[in-house]
Amino acid sequence: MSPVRDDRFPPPAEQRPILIVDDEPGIHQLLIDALVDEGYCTPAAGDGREALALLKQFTPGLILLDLRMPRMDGIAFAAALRRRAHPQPPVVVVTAAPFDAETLDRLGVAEVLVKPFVLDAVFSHVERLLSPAGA
Amino acid sequence: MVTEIPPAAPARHAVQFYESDVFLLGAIDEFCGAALRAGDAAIVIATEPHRAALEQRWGADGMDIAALQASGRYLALDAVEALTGFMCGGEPDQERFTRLIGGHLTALAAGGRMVYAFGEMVAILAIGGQHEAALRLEALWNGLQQTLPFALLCAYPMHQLGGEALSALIEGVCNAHTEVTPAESYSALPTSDSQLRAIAVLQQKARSLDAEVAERRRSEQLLQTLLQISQKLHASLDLETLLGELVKEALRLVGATGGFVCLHAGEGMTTHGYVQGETIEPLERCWPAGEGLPGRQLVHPAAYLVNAAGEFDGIDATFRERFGARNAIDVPILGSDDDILGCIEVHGGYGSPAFTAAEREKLAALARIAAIAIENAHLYREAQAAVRLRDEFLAIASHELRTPLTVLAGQADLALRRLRRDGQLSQERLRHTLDVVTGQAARLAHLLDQLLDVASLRRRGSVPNRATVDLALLVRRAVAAMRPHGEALSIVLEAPETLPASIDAPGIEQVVTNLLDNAVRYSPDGGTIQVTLSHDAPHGRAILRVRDHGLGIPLERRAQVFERFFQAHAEEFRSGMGLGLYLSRQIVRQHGGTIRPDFPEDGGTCFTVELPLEPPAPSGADAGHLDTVTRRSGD
Repeated sequence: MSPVRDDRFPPPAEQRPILIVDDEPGIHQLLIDALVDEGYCTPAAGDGREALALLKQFTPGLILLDLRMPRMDGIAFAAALRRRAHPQPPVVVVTAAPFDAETLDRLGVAEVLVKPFVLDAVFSHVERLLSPAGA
Repeated sequence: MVTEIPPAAPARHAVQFYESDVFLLGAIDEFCGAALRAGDAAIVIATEPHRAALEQRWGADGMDIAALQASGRYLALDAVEALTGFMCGGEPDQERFTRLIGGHLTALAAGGRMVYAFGEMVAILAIGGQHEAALRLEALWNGLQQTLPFALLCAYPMHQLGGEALSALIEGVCNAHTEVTPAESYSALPTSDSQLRAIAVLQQKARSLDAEVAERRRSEQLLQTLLQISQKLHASLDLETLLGELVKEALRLVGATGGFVCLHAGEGMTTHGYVQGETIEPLERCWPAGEGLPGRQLVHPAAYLVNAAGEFDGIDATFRERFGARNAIDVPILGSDDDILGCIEVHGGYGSPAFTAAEREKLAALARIAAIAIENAHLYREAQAAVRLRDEFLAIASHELRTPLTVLAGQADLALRRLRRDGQLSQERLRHTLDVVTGQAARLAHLLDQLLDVASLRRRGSVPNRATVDLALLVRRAVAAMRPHGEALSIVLEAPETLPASIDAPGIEQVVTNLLDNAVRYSPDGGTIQVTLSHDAPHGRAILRVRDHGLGIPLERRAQVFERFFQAHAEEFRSGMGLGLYLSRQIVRQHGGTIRPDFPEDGGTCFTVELPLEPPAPSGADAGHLDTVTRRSGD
């Protein structure tokens, strides 16, 4: 069930925000457009460092994570995420690069979407994995 | 195996070697003809043509052959037929021979006549390769002579008894006879002096033939050996293995105690190891042109042979002192274009016999085989490198193309979903979607162009399509087109009013755009990009500088700046396949210009392009000497 969208920042947990981490403006915009349409709240970051900074301010219900980014890539971010105390939102990796399944597994990545992805796949993963409100 | 012949009876058993049929007929006539004329009996066991020629001759002489036959004084038999009468299982059967031939002789000897027999059967057996049988038959004839009185003449055609295999036969034959008459080239000589000369000449000929045969054998042997070595070398495409095997074979081939192989790399001949027997000791040496025997190959390639070498004979001190090298052979390895690929050097130590010219030739032959194998190994390496590059290329291309494709497809999908859901699409939404679609499609197209550019760059001629354009205007336009990309950035341009140049405008525009693009991309935090275009009149060229104050390039990556797929911050950084600089350098080089990066103290990167305004004079080749990357030509 999709919550009613709210443009407050930082978004409260009940909004179940989806954090988008990707340096490509096109992908960024596409994911935001698609998810906002479905009523989700979608704060976004351009790389791992930015994303970590945002996490200090709120807890997302799900993270859509690109692997190849400047300054701090997806792997480094996921590792940093795991080192934090709870909560640990589910992470879906969205990537065009070849990836090492073992590494992602170890980092607790819930799912991998390979570009070019189909929007239906995005929605289905989001619906399935998005933590229930307040969790 | 030579059959033992029972000693010849006191009766006459002569053998005549002949070269011509005429001579043979003369001999038979002297033997049998004379007998018939003297009233004795004769039997001729010969081939049909010989019998016919003989009887014709006798007929012409006035002998009545028919009468002689009727009176039982003359009998002619076909040699081949007669043979079948007593040959049994490839061997002459004694009993049958005695019965058949002995029978005829007895009949002819009726009335106490003396019988003169001529037989060719032994010759037929010998020519047919049945040497044992021939000698056995000679023995049977000898045996028969012990019980029956008759004189016997055999004849062998000399020209059909050539070859070493028959020398044993000849000896056996001669031993079986009481008289031996050589063929006419001796026998027909008039004086004993000329006969002696003939013998001396024959002796010399025999010796020289012996020597030639021995030489042929050695050549055959060498050929066999080289063939085997060749197969061994060509079985390996790995250069290291190949070189090791090569030296070991060289040592074996000429009986050397140690040796090494050099490859011509850059300025000199380089080796990485010294081989002794089966062991390779690591040894790094490089001889520049002129130094030592290997260096001499670079100046004057030839097969060098040095025995009892002194200090200045070209054998390195290391080899003389450490490995006791005293003699050496050094041969060049020449490629198919006669270019020097390297050399092989082998050494003999103290106590080893000196190397011979023959051994030098052997090593030279080995070097020729080695050349092919080495060229193959090089080609293989190049092929492997090309495959690796292609795979890298495909991987990167595949990755880079996915992003625009994702965005394009995604936005279109989104628009469709909205349309289905709402039954309509707002103008704004539609415009936005189409903007994205066209934008991403353009990006895909651009990436594809870059890929194709790289692929076709090799095939394209190295001469750009020049036209006279205003370079200053070109740069201004490129800068203007860049401006919308970086809002946080400012691009400052300094350029003359006009700057005419004869260049490939689209190509140079690509270069300028690429440099500006990089500057923008490597300045994620904004800042100023300084672009300066100036005219270096004394050198007839333009100088373009693009300087950013951004991320710069890490020290360890600077050398690779112009390589394909180079990304300064590889794993982390985004888009672009790293082809831009590679292509830019190619284009600038094609114009006879240079391009180089500098990394100022206060950060960022500055690219400097020096571009000739006119095409270089025909004598000049590829420029680009200032490029920081050194790769093999043809990259």
